[in-house]
Amino acid sequence: MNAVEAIDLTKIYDNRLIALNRTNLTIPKGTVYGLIGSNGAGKTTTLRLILGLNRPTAGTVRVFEEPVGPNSGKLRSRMGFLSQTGSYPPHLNPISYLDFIGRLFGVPPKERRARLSALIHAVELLPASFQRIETLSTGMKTRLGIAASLINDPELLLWDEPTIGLDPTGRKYTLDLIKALKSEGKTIILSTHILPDADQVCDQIGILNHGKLIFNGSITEMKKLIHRDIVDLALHGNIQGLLNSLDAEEPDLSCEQVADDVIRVAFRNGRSLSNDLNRVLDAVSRHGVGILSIRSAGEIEDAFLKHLEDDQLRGFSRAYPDREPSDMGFLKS
Amino acid sequence: MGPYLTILFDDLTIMVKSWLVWIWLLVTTVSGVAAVLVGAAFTDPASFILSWGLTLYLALGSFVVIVIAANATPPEQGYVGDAIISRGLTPAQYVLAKMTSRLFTVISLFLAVTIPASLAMLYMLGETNDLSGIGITFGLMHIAFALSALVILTMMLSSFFGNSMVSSVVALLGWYTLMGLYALSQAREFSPEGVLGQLPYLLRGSLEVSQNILILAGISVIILLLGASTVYLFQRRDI
Repeated sequence: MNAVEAIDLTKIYDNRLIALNRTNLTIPKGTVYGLIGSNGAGKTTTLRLILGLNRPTAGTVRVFEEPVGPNSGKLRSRMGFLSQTGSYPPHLNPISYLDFIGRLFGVPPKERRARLSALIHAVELLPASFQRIETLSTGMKTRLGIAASLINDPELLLWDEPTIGLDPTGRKYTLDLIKALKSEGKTIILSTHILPDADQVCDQIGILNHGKLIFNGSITEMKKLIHRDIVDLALHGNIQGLLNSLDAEEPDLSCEQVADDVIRVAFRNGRSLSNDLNRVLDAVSRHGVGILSIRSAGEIEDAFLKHLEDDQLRGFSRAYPDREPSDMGFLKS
Repeated sequence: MGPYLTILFDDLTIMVKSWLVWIWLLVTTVSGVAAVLVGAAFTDPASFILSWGLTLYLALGSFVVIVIAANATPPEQGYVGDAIISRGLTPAQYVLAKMTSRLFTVISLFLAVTIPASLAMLYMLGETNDLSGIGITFGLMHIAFALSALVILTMMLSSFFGNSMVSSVVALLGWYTLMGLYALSQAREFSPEGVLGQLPYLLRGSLEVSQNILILAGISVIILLLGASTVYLFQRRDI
């Protein structure tokens, strides 16, 4: 069963801004779906259309196989929404706000009190429970929003930029929470432009660019587009000597120093990554350079940028069929 | 408790905490007491003094009513949708709850002052008392219905423009122009007595009950039509 199905979904605002352009989207139940894109790509509009808060200019959205619109109150009570704008009634405190949201959803009093107590503890807002919402920090408001989106125990969660404004602990907690909610069988749509977050928790990704869904598939499929692997090595010792040696001995690799103690190694397509990595590590060892850390670098960002670039090229080719993509520079001037 | 009642009680709590509501209640209470004292101290008929009181309430109170009604649905784009409607509500439930709350507030504020002041005039004034119970009832109902129409009209404008400032200005201009034209059409002469129109007669009980019921029914139909338009316009918007 699909949690969300959008067909030819289009939204043009009154100021003629095309926020979403004939988007087709299918999100199976139990999936963590990452909606990624630059600012203004149409992520929030998509979420608001799924919630029925905005009316589509064309196309349809179905949630749990029912059509969604402004009057789909019952359907919305099966969803939990975290808004990016942090819209909260300023006259309330976290406890009264969560209680208010619980009452709106029609959660019975006993259950409401139990969930409220559990959620306020879980998002670590107990010390600020009676503080007015307008005095809370951005991170605290985000955590309150997360709690509010869970008070009705929804089947579908729509979280708009859930890790924005959070400190590293809060961010890790949120990502762990998403994994836990997924294991409970919930469907989660995550709008974000923090790509490593999407990489960590999402099963499927949709890339939006200027209102168009230019990619829809798994993270693995997304990364396949960039046929290379990149590793960042944090080192201490004679890094320059190592780089000179790698340049001379390993012409198949591309190495560059990206920080004082970090070199980035890009491996050639289609070769065994483990063999190549072993050769690099041997060279590191031979030069007496110490390894501080090894991590995969830039994969999802590169894949994302590659998709955007390809989309731009496709648009260019349609608009200027007689020109070469290398001529694109003239558009920017 | 359903979403409608939750919004209704939340909004009534906001109204109870509103400084505008308390200041207006204080001002009107003082004015009500002053009207009774003036009625006792002067030889003018009570119907004339109460008519002036009610006319002034309608004239000055309209401004307060417009402010209360125009701010019923918060003006920030997306706020209502993100914070409220996304929590399992329909726009109709939301706007009807707000409408009920603001109507209740405005009518309660009006009756809380005018009923005691009218009863005081009816029972405490001696020779100058020319009021009748049924006259007062219909007089208060006429003003209450006019205030109700104003609340709904302002909320309809607010739904149409999606901006409380613009809707307030349009409501103020429209309402005061209508009131001015109505007063001029009713005035037998351009004098303090003249502009009160039929109100003093009504308060004295010189009225056709069936005719007044018909007028009130007509205003009710207008209120219902304005209410339906408000819900329709609110639902049409992106929230």
